[in-house]
Amino acid sequence: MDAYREAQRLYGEATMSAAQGQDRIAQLEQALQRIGQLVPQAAADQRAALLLMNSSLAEQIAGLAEGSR
Amino acid sequence: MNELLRRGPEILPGTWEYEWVASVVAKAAEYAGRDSHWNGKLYEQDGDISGIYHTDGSMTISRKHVLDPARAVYAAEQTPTRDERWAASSATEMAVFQARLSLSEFGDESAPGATPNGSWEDLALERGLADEFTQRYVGRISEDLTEHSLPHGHMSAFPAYTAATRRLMYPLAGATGLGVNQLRDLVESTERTQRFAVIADRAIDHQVGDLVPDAHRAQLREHLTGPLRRGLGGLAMTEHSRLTDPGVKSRWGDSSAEWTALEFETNLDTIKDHYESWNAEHPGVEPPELPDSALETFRDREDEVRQIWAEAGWPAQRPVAGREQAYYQQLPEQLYPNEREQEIARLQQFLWSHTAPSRHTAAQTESGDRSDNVRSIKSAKRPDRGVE
Repeated sequence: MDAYREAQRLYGEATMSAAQGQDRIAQLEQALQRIGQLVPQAAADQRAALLLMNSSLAEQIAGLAEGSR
Repeated sequence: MNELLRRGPEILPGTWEYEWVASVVAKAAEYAGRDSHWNGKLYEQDGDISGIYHTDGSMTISRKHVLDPARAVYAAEQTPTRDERWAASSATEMAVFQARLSLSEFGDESAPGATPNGSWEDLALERGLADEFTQRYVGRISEDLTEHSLPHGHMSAFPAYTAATRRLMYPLAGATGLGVNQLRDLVESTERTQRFAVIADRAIDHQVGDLVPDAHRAQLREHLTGPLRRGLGGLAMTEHSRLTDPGVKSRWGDSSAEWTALEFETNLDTIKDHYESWNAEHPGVEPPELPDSALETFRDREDEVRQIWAEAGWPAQRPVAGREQAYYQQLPEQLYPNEREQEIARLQQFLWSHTAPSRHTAAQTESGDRSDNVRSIKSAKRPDRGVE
């Protein structure tokens, strides 16, 4: 599976995870870091998409962290 | 602040990094014709995170993933290599996307008819619009900022959202009496919480504005924003399906937008018929609200569109409000669901138990939250569709 498809899989799975609270944040963090690590392996025309998926997950974590305060 | 998202050191004005990001934001604002809400604060983003535009208006950006690859080309003294130009192109796309996000105003979630920030329909619309803006302007912005040509043509991060958003603008432009670019500008310059409402209001104003009493407006708006919210919000399931090919996501985004637009337009026609025929028969007399038969017609349409989604393999829609029992009775048993069906069931359950499409409409509010009623999908969908 190429880096883009793998990132799409990780992104979708983490976003739609049924986990709640800290477990959900942990899943999102894991996917976020994994997609970040995949960026250098991605084909040139895939990298931007990985960066945006990565940022989108970070945005979700930030939103959950804000909501739990 | 979450530990992983911890901000690194502030990047100060006067540094190459700050000036590059500020230039990208300024160029994005210039092309959009709107001001950015970026507060001018920029921080390094630690770890394997590309960057975030925060709700407080600040921005973080990764040195490793964005700033260093950009600098290798934008500040290059020698001709950059092909790999360097591709890397800088990805970095620019990331920066333009962030800059575009900063052009949107979040809005007041407590205002009447507001769509919450971060709801599926809000995310679909905002990401779709931001992705399209980025694709349209990233080439021009990079040309404005460097003499080195950068390659473009990246894969989309949000294939379903972007395709649906782009496609929707054409029929909605017709319904609102605006050009496609005018409508997109109107939507993007409206705060995120009111974007669906502004489309509905503009369509009502254009079609029957002078015939509709102010007291009817909120109800009519719900009948027009409902299809948009369900259509875009339901796409979360497609966008986040791990078994679905990006090309299929994009095609379903496109097709679903057609059904969304059709439901919107036919609801608008029903509204228009009611007020125009009343006015023709009773000129000068204040019209009554929509009759029950019209509301039933809206439910029939919602049901039809939901069935179309299900047949295409995406039964993401909730049962029509007031018709839940019939919906659950129609679900056939399926004893041995395959991997695809299991995934869809998980996705549907997630959507229904979180920010499901249309939960903010008056009808949904009346029917309450039915997350406890969620059953596995066993509808008459064709399970081999929608997956590649």
